[in-house]
Amino acid sequence: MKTSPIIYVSPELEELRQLVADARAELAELETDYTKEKSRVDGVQAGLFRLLREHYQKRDQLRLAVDYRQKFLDALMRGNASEVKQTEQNYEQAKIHSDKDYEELSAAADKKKNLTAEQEAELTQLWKKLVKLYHPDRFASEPDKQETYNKLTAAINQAKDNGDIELLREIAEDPHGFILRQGWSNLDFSDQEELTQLRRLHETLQKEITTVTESLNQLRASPDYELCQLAEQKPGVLDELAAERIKQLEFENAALAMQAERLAEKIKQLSGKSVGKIF
Amino acid sequence: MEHQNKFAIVRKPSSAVEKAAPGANRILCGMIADTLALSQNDDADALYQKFRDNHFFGRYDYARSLLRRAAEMAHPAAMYDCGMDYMSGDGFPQDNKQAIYWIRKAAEQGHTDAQRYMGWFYREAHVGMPFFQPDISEAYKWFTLAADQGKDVLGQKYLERLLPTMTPEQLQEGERRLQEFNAQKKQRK
Repeated sequence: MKTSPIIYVSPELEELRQLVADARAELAELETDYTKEKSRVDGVQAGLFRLLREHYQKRDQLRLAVDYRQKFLDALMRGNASEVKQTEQNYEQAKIHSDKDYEELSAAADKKKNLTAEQEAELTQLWKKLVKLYHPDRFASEPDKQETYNKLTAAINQAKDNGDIELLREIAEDPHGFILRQGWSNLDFSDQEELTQLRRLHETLQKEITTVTESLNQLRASPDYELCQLAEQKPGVLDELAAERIKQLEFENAALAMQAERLAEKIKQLSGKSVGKIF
Repeated sequence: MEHQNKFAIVRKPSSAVEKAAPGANRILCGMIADTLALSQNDDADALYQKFRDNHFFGRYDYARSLLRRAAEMAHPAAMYDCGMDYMSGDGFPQDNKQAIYWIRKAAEQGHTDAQRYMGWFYREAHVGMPFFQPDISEAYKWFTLAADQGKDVLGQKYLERLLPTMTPEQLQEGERRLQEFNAQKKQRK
C-alpha cells in the first residue's frame, strides 16, 4: 500500500526562516564593513611599515648590540667563561629572531593590496553568498565533514584578513567546486527544515553578529584606525609624520651607536678581542 | 552551545601581520603608536589625559607613545609615570638609566612621589643600579622636599626615620644642597 507522506508545516517555521534570512543579511553587511575597513587599515599599516622599516630595524639591532655587549662585559668582569660563551650564543639567536620578525612583516606588507572601489562594491554581493555557508554545528556529529568545514572557514578567514578578494569570490561563486578542488570531502550547505536546527542556526547567527560587531568596534577604537582616518582626511600627512619620526630615530640611533662603540672599546681593553667578530 | 566558539566564519581580527610572531606584531604596533602620537598637537595636559584613557582601554603601545610625548613636554606626572614605566619594563625593555632620568626630572619639577622616590633611591644603593651611589645627604634633600609640600605623609615618615641615622656633617651637607636646589628653582622661575 502506498502511503503519502504527511506534510506538516509549522507556522513557526516560516517565521524562523524569515528571521534567519534577516540575521544573514545583517551579518553580511557587518562582514562587508569589517572587510572594507580592515583592508584600508592594513593598507595604511603596510605603507607606514615600508617608510619606517629601515630605521626601526637599525634601532632594534643597535639596542640588541648595546644590551648584549653590556651583558658580555659583565660576564667578562665576573670571569665566568661559560657565561661569556652563553651570552654570545644568546645574542646570535636574538638577532636572528629580530631579523625574522622584520622579514615576516615585510612579506605581509608586500602582499597587501588595496581594494579598488569596484571591489569594495562587489564585497556586499560576495558576503551575501558567503554567510549562507555559515552552519557552525551542522556537521558536529560527522568528524570528516566537520574538519572540511573548519578548513573552509579558515580559508575564508584568511582571504578576508588578506583582502584577497579573488579567493573570496572563488568560494562564494562555487563553494562545492572550491571544496572539490582542494580535495576535501563534500558538504551540504542547504538549510535543514527542522525547527530545532533552524532555531539553533538563528541563535548562532545572532552570536556571530555580536562577535563581528565587537571586532568592528575594536578595530574602530584602535590607534591603527585613527591613523588610517587621519591619512584619509589629509593626504600626505603620513609621509610628513614618517619624516618627523625618521629624524627622531636617526638621533636615537646615533646615540645608541655611540654607546655600542664605547662598550666595544671596553670589551677590547678587557679581553683583547675585537668586538666585530662576536657582535 | 559548546561549539559556538569553534566554527565561526569570523573570529577576532587577525590580519596576516597579527598572525606573525608576537614580536612582529609588537614592532608594527610600536611604529603606528609612535607615528600617531606625533600627530597629536595638544598641550601636555591633554596628552596626559589621552594617555590615561588609552591605557585604561588597554591600548598600551599607543598609551606609552603618548606618555613619552607628554613627558618630553615636561609634564611632571607624565615624567614620573614614564620613569616608573621604564623601571617596571612591562612589555618592553627595562631601562633603569632612563627610569632615573625621567623620575629625576619629575622630582626637579616638584612632583611629590618622584621626590620621595629619589630620596629612597639615594638612601639605599639599589640592586641592578650599579651607577647609583648611596648618598644620605641627597636622600635628606629629596625627603625634605617631598615632606615640605605638606601633603606627603610618607615622605615625612621617611624623613623622620632617616634623621637619627645621619651624622651632623651629612645633615649640614644636606641642608646646603637643599638651599642650592631652592635657589636654582627660584632662578629658573
